Amino acid sequence: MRGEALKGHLELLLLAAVRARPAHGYAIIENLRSRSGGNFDLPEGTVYPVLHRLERAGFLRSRWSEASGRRRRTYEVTEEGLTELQARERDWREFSRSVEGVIEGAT
Amino acid sequence: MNEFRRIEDYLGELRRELPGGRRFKGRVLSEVEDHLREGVRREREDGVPVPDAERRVIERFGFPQLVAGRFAEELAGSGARSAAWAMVLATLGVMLLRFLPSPALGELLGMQANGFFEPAGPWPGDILPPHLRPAMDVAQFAFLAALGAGAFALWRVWRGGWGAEIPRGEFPVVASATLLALAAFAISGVADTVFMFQRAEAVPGSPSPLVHTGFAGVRALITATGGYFVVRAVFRLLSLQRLRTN
Repeated sequence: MRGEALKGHLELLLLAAVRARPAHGYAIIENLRSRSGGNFDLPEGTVYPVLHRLERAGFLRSRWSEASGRRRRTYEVTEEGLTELQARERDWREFSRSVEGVIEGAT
Repeated sequence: MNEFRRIEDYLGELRRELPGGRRFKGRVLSEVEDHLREGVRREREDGVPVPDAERRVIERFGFPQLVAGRFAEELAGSGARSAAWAMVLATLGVMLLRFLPSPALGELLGMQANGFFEPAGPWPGDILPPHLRPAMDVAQFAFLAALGAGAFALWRVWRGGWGAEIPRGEFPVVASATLLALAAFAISGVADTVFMFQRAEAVPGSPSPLVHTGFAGVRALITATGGYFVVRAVFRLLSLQRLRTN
């Protein structure tokens, strides 16, 4: 998928990726890649600024832990983040249905 | 020799490119290091030698300039917000201190004092040394600019719900006006202090020179603090802008 198109939906995708359980950055990106069948293949470093933005907005919270002798930052979704995720999922489904409708009507 | 030389080099370059303070950079670099090392660990599990694993993981992560640029985009909003607050608070502090000892405020507070904490007059009016007059005129004019800049910044922040940033196009205007105001405050502070000392000698019952010195000190402190924060905010925004355009 084209990077620019993906960039617009990255917040929704990241919130969805950590909904089930808390995860660190690497695991979140791997989750995105595997669940999209390898289609969502962004430069991995560009995901971290978005994680920070979501945390500043109060949709994610994070904490340090220790793993293999290294400091590791783990993210989890907040109550506010869950509400936001549900709202964005609704918006996305509606948008997706509308696009489908237009495309099918044109063929 | 360090086993993860490429990762260390990458982190060094990212450290140089990243915007923000030391604490912010520390957090980002720790996260990135964990990410890269985790990637190498998994590549090695698949039998990839360390140098190749490092190269692959770094390639997937993206150029340091790209990653730093994205962080700059995220920080630009909060940078402009802090700048707006710095400008608003500096201007309000300047205005408050400038007008605190005014006769009108003295009357309002029921104090028998004029602009220089003197007892009620009549006393000689203008004994400002002639060489200080132009500086005071410039300062008075610049205070109007400060009032305008402060009110404008305040209005922009208020209109955005006390959390929005000043649009980048308007930022240089507000920042320059605020810096001008701080400079004016410094000039008038010196002039006022000289004036106060002269009046202290001329007007019986005036507060001791110690009071004037203390008041001048507080003004200087507020001016320096406000100036520091405004200048820091301006430089931070400029460096973020540079990263965003890279």
